[in-house]
Order: sequence, then C-alpha cells, then structure tokens
Amino acid sequence: MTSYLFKRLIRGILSIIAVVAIVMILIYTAMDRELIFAGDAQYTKKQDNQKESYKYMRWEVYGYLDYVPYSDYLNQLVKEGTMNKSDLADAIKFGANESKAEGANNTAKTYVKKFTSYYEEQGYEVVSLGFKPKTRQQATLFAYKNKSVIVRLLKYFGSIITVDNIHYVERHTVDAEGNPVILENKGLEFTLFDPSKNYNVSGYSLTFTNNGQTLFANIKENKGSDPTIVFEKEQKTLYTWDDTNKTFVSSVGDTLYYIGYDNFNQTVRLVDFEEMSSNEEIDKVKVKHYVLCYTTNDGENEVLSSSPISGSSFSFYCFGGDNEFVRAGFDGEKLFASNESVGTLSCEYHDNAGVSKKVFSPAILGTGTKNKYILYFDNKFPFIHQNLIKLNLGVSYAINKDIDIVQTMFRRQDPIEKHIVVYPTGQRTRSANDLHTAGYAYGSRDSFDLNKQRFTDDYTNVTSFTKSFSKTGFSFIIGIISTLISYLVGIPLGILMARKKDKLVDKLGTVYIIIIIAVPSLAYIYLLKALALNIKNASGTLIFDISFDLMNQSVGMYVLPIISLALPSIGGFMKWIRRYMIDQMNSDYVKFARSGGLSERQIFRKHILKNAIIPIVQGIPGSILGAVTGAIITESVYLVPGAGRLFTDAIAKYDNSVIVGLTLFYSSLSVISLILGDILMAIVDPRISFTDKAR
Amino acid sequence: MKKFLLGFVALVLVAGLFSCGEKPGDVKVADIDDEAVYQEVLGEFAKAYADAKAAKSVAERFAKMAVAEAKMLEAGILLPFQSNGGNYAMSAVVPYTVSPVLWGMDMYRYQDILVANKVLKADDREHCKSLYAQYKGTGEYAAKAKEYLEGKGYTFKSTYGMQYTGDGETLDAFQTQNATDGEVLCLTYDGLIRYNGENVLEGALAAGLPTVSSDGLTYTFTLREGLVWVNREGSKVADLTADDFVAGFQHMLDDPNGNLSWLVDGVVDGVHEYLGGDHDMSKVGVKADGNKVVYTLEAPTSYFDTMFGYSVFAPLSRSFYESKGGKFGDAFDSTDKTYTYGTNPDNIAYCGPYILESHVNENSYVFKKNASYWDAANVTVDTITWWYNAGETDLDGYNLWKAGKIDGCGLNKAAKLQAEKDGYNDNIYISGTDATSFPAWVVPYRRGYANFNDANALVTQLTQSEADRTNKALSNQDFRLAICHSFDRKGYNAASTGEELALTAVTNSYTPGTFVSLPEAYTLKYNGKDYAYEAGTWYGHIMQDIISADGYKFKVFDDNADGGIGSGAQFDGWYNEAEAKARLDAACEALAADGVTVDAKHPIKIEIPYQNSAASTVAAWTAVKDGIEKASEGRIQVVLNGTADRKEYLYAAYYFEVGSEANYNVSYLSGWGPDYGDPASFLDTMINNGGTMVKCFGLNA
Repeated sequence: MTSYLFKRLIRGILSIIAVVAIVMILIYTAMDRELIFAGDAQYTKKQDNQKESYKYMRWEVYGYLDYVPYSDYLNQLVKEGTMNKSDLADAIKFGANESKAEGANNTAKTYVKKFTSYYEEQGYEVVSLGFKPKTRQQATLFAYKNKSVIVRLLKYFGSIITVDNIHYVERHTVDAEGNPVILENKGLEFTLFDPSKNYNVSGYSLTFTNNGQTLFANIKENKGSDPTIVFEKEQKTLYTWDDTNKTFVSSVGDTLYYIGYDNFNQTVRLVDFEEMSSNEEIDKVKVKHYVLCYTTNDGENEVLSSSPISGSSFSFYCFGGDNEFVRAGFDGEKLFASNESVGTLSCEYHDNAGVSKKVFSPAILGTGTKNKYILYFDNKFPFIHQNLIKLNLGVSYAINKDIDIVQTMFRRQDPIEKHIVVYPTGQRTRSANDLHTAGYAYGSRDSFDLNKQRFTDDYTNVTSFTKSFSKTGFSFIIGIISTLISYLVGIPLGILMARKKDKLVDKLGTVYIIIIIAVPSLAYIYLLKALALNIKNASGTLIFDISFDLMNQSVGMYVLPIISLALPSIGGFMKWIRRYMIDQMNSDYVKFARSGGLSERQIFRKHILKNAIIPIVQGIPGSILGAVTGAIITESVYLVPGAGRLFTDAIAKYDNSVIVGLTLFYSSLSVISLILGDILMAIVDPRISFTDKAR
Repeated sequence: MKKFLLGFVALVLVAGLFSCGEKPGDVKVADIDDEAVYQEVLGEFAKAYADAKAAKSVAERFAKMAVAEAKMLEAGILLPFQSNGGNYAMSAVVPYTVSPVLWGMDMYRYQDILVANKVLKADDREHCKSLYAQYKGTGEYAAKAKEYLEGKGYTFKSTYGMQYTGDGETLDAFQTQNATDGEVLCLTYDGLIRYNGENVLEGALAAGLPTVSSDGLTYTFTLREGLVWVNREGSKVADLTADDFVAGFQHMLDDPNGNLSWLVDGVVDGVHEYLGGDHDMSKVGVKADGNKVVYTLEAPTSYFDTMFGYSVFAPLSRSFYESKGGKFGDAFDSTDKTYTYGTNPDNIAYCGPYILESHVNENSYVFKKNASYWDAANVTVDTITWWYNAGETDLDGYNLWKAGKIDGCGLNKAAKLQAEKDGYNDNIYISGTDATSFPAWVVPYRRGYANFNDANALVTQLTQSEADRTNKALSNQDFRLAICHSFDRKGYNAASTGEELALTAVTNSYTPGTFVSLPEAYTLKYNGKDYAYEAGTWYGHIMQDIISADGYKFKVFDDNADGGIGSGAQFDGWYNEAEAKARLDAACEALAADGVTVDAKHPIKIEIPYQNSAASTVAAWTAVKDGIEKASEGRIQVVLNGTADRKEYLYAAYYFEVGSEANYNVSYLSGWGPDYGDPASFLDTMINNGGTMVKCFGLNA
C-alpha cells in the first residue's frame, strides 16, 4: 500500500509540474503581450521613447522579461563601488537632449559601451532610442531579455519554499544612501512569555455620589479586554458603554448632555443623548496631559478648567444635565466632582495599578529575520502559528498588488478589529495592530513619535487584526455546509427515488433533476435573490442579506449562497445514487438475497446501498477539499469575498503569477483529493486493495 | 490526382484574378510630406492655436482657443461623436453637492455630499438644477437646495452607499493613474486646493488660493494651521508640513512607470531633468518654506492651478513613508522586500476627510470620517460604503439599491423596466456626461492597408486604383465634411445602445462646449468684426460664433440646452443631408478638375475597420454605411472591413504608433480625456509637434 501510494504521489507531482509548465508556456509564449495595453489609459497618453520603455517596464512587471534601464545599471555600479558619484552625473547624460545638442560626453560614451557589451554578452537585447526633439523626450537606453520558460519553471519550483533567517534583513535592506544595513544583535530568542501578551493590572474604579446617594460609577478594567463602564443610579443602570459606537447608551432616556471619555488615548468626545447621532469630537488633547471639563450654557460648550496631570493616564468623566451635576475630573492630585447648583458631589477612587503580569505563551522572536515573531500562539485557529517557512507561489501584480498569493488566499480580511495591545515599550492602547505580524523596516522606529512611544526596535511594520475570514475561509464555510446539505438531502432522496422507481416520488425527483440541469445556475440564483429581496423584518432590513455585509456580519448572509450552491449538487447526488442503486437492483446477488427471503428494506440498506455508495464515497475528499476553491457565480452574485473569482480575475487582469500559483494550488488539491478518494474507497470496499499481495 | 486538381483550380483562380486587372489588398501608396499635409489640413488651426497660446489674459486665451478649435472642426478630419455618460439613473444624492469639475479627482471627493433619505423625484432634481443655475458661485446653493428639498419632505442621511465595479490595485496615490485607485485614494488625502460643488476653486490644505508672482512662474501656497497625519486607527503620526508636499512630489517623480510625472514634465521647473536621471531634488521647482509650499514653473502656465486635483500635488508624510521602508531618488526601489508603503490600508497615512476602515476585494470599501481632518465639522457624511457590482446580471445594481445598500444606481434597459414596474417612473433621470471625447477620425491621406504588426490582418478590400482615388477625394476638405455631415451617429447609437439613448451621450465638439467659460469679459476681433463676450460665456458659444461666421453649417453649441445652462452635447448638430450633398457636389467638381470622376457608377470607396462579432455593432455600422451612401446618392461607398478578432481591430485603429500605420479611411475607436482645466488639454493633442492624437487622422506628428 505504501509503495503504491508513493508511486501515486510521485506521478501526481510530475503531473502538477507538467500542468504548471503547460500554463507557463501558454501565458509566456503563446499569448500576444501587446494585448495587455488594450485598456491602459497610460499607454494612450504616452508617446515615443516613453511609450516604448513603458511597454518593457510593464512586461517586466507581468513577468515576461527582464528589463534593465541604463540608469539602473549605473546605480548598481555606484552601489558596488566601481563608479563614483561624479561620474554618474556625466554618465547618465548619454544622449542628445535640448541642452546638449551635440550628444554624449566621453564618460557617457564609455559607459554606454560597457552597458551594451555587458548585457549583450548575457544574451540581452539592447535598445537605444534617440532624443525626440518634437516631444522633448530624452534619449532612452535599456536592455531586455525574454525569460525562457524552462529557466522560469526551474526557478519557480526552486523558490517555492522560503525560510526566514537571521541574515534576511542584512541581505535585503539598504539604508537611505544605498548602503547595506548591519545589525549587531542578530539572533533568535525563545521566551515562555510572549511580550505582546504582557499586561499591567491597572484596574480602578470610580464611584460618584450626589448628596450621599450613589449616582453612578463602577469603572473597572480587566486584563486584555475593554473596560466595563456602567453608570448606575440606585442600582438602576443609567448608561452603559457601547464599545462599537464609542458612546454611552442611555437605558432610561434621562437627559445627560455630555460625557467626556479618554481612556487608552481615545479622544475626548461629546455626546448629546437627546440626539444620539450627533456625536462630535471637541478636542484631541490627550488625557495624559490635561483634563478638560465642559459645561453647557444654552447649548454652547465651554471649557471650565484644564490642568495637567502627573502620573499615569486616567480616564475622566464630566457630565451634566438638567440639574444633574456638572463636572468631575482629576485636578492634578486627586479626582474631584462638583456641582454648584445641586447638592454635594463626591467621587471615590480606588487604584489597583502598578503590578505587571506575564502570560504563559511560548514564542520565538527573531532579530535580523524578516518577521519579528517566528513562532507564537494565539486564540485563532490553528492556535500555533509560524512565520519561519513560507510557501511562495508568487506575488500578485493586479489582484492584490505586491502581496503574495498564499496571503491573498489565506489572510483574514477587513474590517479591522481593535483590542488592548501592549507594545514592546509597555504602552497599552486600544489598537488594531497585530504585533505578531511585525516586520522589519529600516529606521522606522525613529521616523515618528508614535513608533518611538510604542516600539523598541525597527520591527514596526504591523498589520491590523481583522474580523472576517480569509477568501478560502469564506469559500470553505459556504462550500462545506452546502456539500453537507447536499449529501444529507441528495442521498436519501436518491435512495427514495430508487426504491420507488417509476412512482410519483421518482417522477417528481426526475423533474427536479432535469430542471436543475437544464436551467442555467444564474437563473435560479437570481430568482432566489429576487425572492429574498421581499423577505424583510419589521424594521425593513433584509433577513437573508443579498450581499455579504462584513461590517455587520450575520448568519443570514450565509443562507442564500449556501442554498444556491446546494440546489444543483442535491440534484447531482439524487441522479447518481438513484442510477447506481437501480443498476445494483438487477444484479445477481440481489436476486439471490431476495430469493433468500430478505426483506426489500434489508436488501436496500445492507446490500444495494453499500455497493452503490462506493463511487459517491470516492468523491467525498474531492468535494471537501474542493470547497476551498469557491464558486464563481454564486460568490459574485452575493458579493462573497471568497476564492472563487480569484482565478478568473487573474486571467482578466493578466496577473500571470497568480494564474500560475493558483494552477499549482488547484492541481495539487485535485491530485490529493483523488488519492484520498481512492484510499477511502479501499476502506469502504473490501474488494479494493492497494497491496501487491491482495492483487 | 487530388493535389493536381487543387493546384489546377488555384491556378485558374489566380489567372482569373490577374485577368481582372487589379486585385484588392495589394495596395502601395507613395509616401507624403507629413508636414505639408498637416499644414494643408490643419494649417489654420495651428496658426490660430499659436495665436491663442500667445494670449495675454486667460479670457483672450480661451476665446482664441475656441477660434482654433472651430478651425480644427471645419477641417473635417474628425467628427465629434460621443462621451461617457448619458444613461438612465436614479439617485438620492442632491445634484451639484459633489464637484462637477471635468478633470482631476475632485468629482470623487464626497465630503460635501448631501444624501437624501430616498431617491429624488426627477422634478425636484430639475428644480435643484435651476437653483444651481441661479446660485452657482455664491456659495449658497447647497443650503438652498437642502431647504427646498426639506420643504418637499426629504430628510438627509449621515451615510452614503454607492457601487463600484473594480477594485484598486495600490494605495500609493503617487504611483498610480488608474481611476479605480484614484477614486479610493482621493478620499484619504486632501490637495492644496480643490473645486467645490459650485465648481469654484477654494483652499483645502492650503488656507486659500495661491499667490502668483507677476511673471507667472511662482505659485505660493500657505498651509492651514494644525494639519495632522493619522494612521488607520486615527492616531496622529505626524504634523503635516510643507515639506510633505516636496516628499510627495519626489515620490511621484520616482515612479519607474511614470504614471503621473508626464503631467508636470515641462511644466514644473526641473522635472524634465529629474526624470532624465539627475535625482537632485533641490533643482526641482517644489520648495517648502516654513508653512508655505512654493512651486516654480518652467514657463508661465495659466492653467497650473487647475491641475491640483491630481495626486501629483498631494502631500506624503515623509516620516510615515520612511517608516514603511520608503526611500527617495536613487535609493528608491519599489521591489525592496521591506518596502511596504501603499500595500494595504495600514500602510498609508491619512490627511483627508476619510479613513479607509475596510476594503475587501469584490465586496466593499468602507470609509469612516477622519475626526482629525481639518474640516471634519463640515464633512456631511460619516460613513461611505461602496458595494461591489460584478455585473453578473443587469439588475445587480438595482437590487443593491432595492436592498437599501446604495443610494442610487444607473439603470440599464432591464433595470429601468423593473424600476418603472416598481413605481419609480418619476424618479428616473438621464445622467450627465463627462468630458471624454471619442471622435470618428477621417484620414486625409491613408498609407496603411494592412495591420502594421501583421500584414495578413485586416487587409484592405480596396484595389490600388480605388485606394488612390479615395486618397485624392479625402484630401479634399469638402469631401471630408460631406462624410461628417452624413455620418449617422444617432442611427449608430440607436442600433448599439437603443433608440431612447441615441443622443444622450452624443457630443458635437472635440472639447466639450461647457469645458471652460470666460473668467472675465472679452471682445474678440475676428475677420474685422467685434464679438463682445461677457464673463461666463461658454467656450462652445464662441466656437459656434466662429463656425457660423465662417459659413459652416454644423452646430456645436446650443445656448438653450440643459435647462438654459447651455450645452454642446445630447443633440445631433452635424447630421445634415442637404449640406452633405452640397459639400459633395463641390468636392466632385474639384475632383473632376483634377481628373477624378466621381458618380454613382464610379463611387469613392471609404473603408472602415470594425469588429463584427456582436450583432449590435454590425447593425450600428450598417446604419452609418446606409446613411453615408444614401446622402451621397451612391457617390460614396462605405466598405466595412470586419474582423471578429478584437485584437486585430485594436491593432488597426488603436495600437499603431505613427499615423502612416493607421489602417483605415475612417475609424471610431481612439478617444481623449482632459487632464487639466484648459482647452489646451484637448488642443495640444492635435498639434504638429508631438500631438498625441495626430496619428489618428493618419499623419506622423
């Protein structure tokens, strides 16, 4: 069995290579590359030399050729130190232009010769375009070389896996002068306590009372989550903090004109509870430095006091209303609350700050590597993550510019999601930054204050936490549920049809099968959508959303795509299972079983079904793995940000590396699913065996 | 035996062809002196245009450019045809609360937009338009429109939903020219100045309009105070300084693809040299001086301040850019592996009215108001959501609207029917057109008779003598005008887009008649006659005066169109069978004197390449053919040279580099959109010195 599978695997890999090679040949040799410019506005607006070099530049971007402009060659020489900067200034003026009508200087002539011979030796084509006086276009010189498909193929498979290492930064980074960057503290560090998960116990609570009566209070901060802020009056909740909208929500409808809030460097906000919509910002002063109090005077906001505060940052609140009270704050030493017109206000403050704690969470951190975090744990599936080994299928040009294909397919998608983040300097802030994505950018820490406050090294390049599943994630969820539904519905119905052959059930089923095959999928998907447009809840919003709303995700938005996908495959399963079973019904063993006195029910369940299900079983791994590839029409009709349209889009946008990468990915998937299917079949059907002995 | 027979048949066929004398396709014509032909055809235009460029004031310049364009249209080498737009639509957006400017990006800045709670009735929309005509330029229009609509029971929303059809590729505003990128990015940054809803230039990041030195070479902008950059979370990353405009400009020049630099090449001092490889930013005419940004120009450019809608002049936070691995000049390398500026919404800084909260390919863009924006208090809408429309069915956009996701949509045939069925008859209106100009080109002397890249593709159907006769005929101005006057644009559109919309996008001049208006009163002297124009006179109006004065019978501008605002679009001012006949008679007479007989038995054959894969295109071109042949009483025969291969068609009429490779007598494919607010943006494409569109009428510029 093992040797059989090994052979299958080798053959599978060879066929994947063959498929990729064929696709590469098709793209890079058989296609007319001028077609790229058909809809290119740039192309229309360029002329002469600019147009010519533009074409080659684009072709390099699309991966057709190597393009080296003369200036790049000179800059390379300077970088290597074989040429000094003053020569560069001369050498670059190699052609006639309006100021130098007579032509190139001697330095330039030498370097042009060098350039030409250097690249011609390597099999490049050197193109020299003269000065165009009419359009004032400078002379242009460049070399290009079409990439051979074989070299391309070898390179592609050669670089398919990249391993991050501590020399990465030094090899790939230069400073502003173009000199290589030297890092002194290169190395890996293993820690049991992931620094991004450190936290300070900084909980505190405030209680505000008016004439001894508790008005509201109770502000707590818990580790790693948002502060719970509740305002109470006589145990009745008046206002609760709505973190999504960053406002306090009134539970009783009292008039409370405004509340300032500045925790975790949020900005101070004014909220008018009579009109919840007018939520405007009045100042951007950080609470670290000031406490501001406001009152209202015929609708006008006025700053009553502002004072710098020392020590760590605090929340502050000032509020007021119809004879409620006016202000509370921090006066530099202690918290205060006062109101001139109503009773005596007081405020109690309990501080628990100052203790810092660590969370057990092993991680490997690198310096000199491309990514700061080489290995780490978090609460997202599959919980352990690594940035060491990367599958490199190529970098997208158009679909997701400069992002590699694996990321395009598997990275979680927007919108952003904020958490409490502890930065390497210890600063805690509500932020969307995902520190585990930190990548290196030379000199970035010193670029601006915010980075200095947050980071301790140049690993500042972080992306945001995002809420939505990845492209393949969405496709998989929809695909797998619809597959399950179609197995669960299609197979029993198919069995029923077979058992009641030529009866009404069978006929109805056949009608369904014929309709679902004959009608183009777009038609019934559209019909479904039109129906869903009329199903609204009391407030007038759609129950089954016709478009994937990622800002307000709901279960309802999955319903239509799943049904749309399940409808045709239910038909397919009904058709095949019915056919397989009817085939079996006339076989000798069934007749034998019947004559042996077994009931029809037993025959169906124990014998026919077992045999008929075998071809279906073989397809199960395929349909599970195939779910990640998504569905083209369904996804685009319901705006599902899935993987289905990636391939067609890549073709439409000439994103050649994505086409090749996806071909590789999809062909691997199908090879794997076929092998798995065969294994599964062998398990289900004892007659099938892969061992040589049994054969 | 079979082979022998086939060979025999072929031999007979070939012999047959030779016995007929000429065979079509094998045409060679003598080369010509491009300069001489240009002077003959467009000499008057060139003279008038040079005169306009030497003008002392902007009003004089615009008026004289109108004269130049009149001369160009009179030459009959192009027939204005169509712009984009002119479709049925419904919308809750109050008209003119987004800038109607026809170039730059300001028409995509939504910070002043007024969105009603339901789609506007067409009558109310019309009323708003009349209010606009009344209050334009006073700064009061938006308030008046709001007041009127509130009286009609509308309320206004703080969210705006719209649809989009293509995702952007990059978020680096300085190195892209794609509309799909630009429309997203222009919400995330502000320029120095911008056009507001009433189409008036006003300060944006700059406190006001620039001061211009007396020699017209130095433009100085003073920045507002307290401008800041924020990151995607809205936290401040840096102050916005004058130096950031220098950084942005340099980053734009560093783009290896030169996406935007051509706009300022030859305009801003030192750009030409920088692009030539001399990466010394101190020699480029962009300087930061305290809180002032100073631009120095190569030569006085009266339209310079109209170019500020582009990201060419946008600021770039130098420190933020550098923190993303960005470098300048020689050190800039877009392929650097640690360079991440502009790759996702985290990797740009924001100084505009909105922050890109979320972008998911082929699903949505969500923009949230930037609380740190200098004018945040006046940003009308808090959240803008763009929904993707894949165009899978004709009703996709309409359904999005019906589901309450978007606040308006264009209506194709199916959607319009559905909207009418759903009771929205009163809300449907025809959308305005933009300034893109797609003319039909008439080649006075054709030299390409097969595709330049493939001698077997779209080979001409004319014979040598027919081709020679055609060239002689088309070098005659009257003959060209006869074609222009009998070219049935309405019939073409009726066949391709439908009878009802046949004229909604039709244009009658190369530069739209309402592209600019005179900034001050000006009296134009033309042929010894004085034409006094008030400030605000449309460019098209002046053009029409000259055309009429010259005795030509086509109409390029209608003062009463578009509810009295005046327009040169949405009517057919060219089709005129009688005039076509008269022109053709004159041409035939002149040609007869030249030894070329033209009558119904010896027609002149005009060849038009087209793509014949869609029935509607075939029908459209057949309508054109019928129109010309009928009006000419058979003296002109239109030969439609069809190919099903789009590629071949593009090579014949779009891809060629020089005019001598143009493989047609008449074509309708290449068009032009303006880059700045001066007719020169259009007219420059027709000059002999490197005009981009000169090749379209078969000459080498």
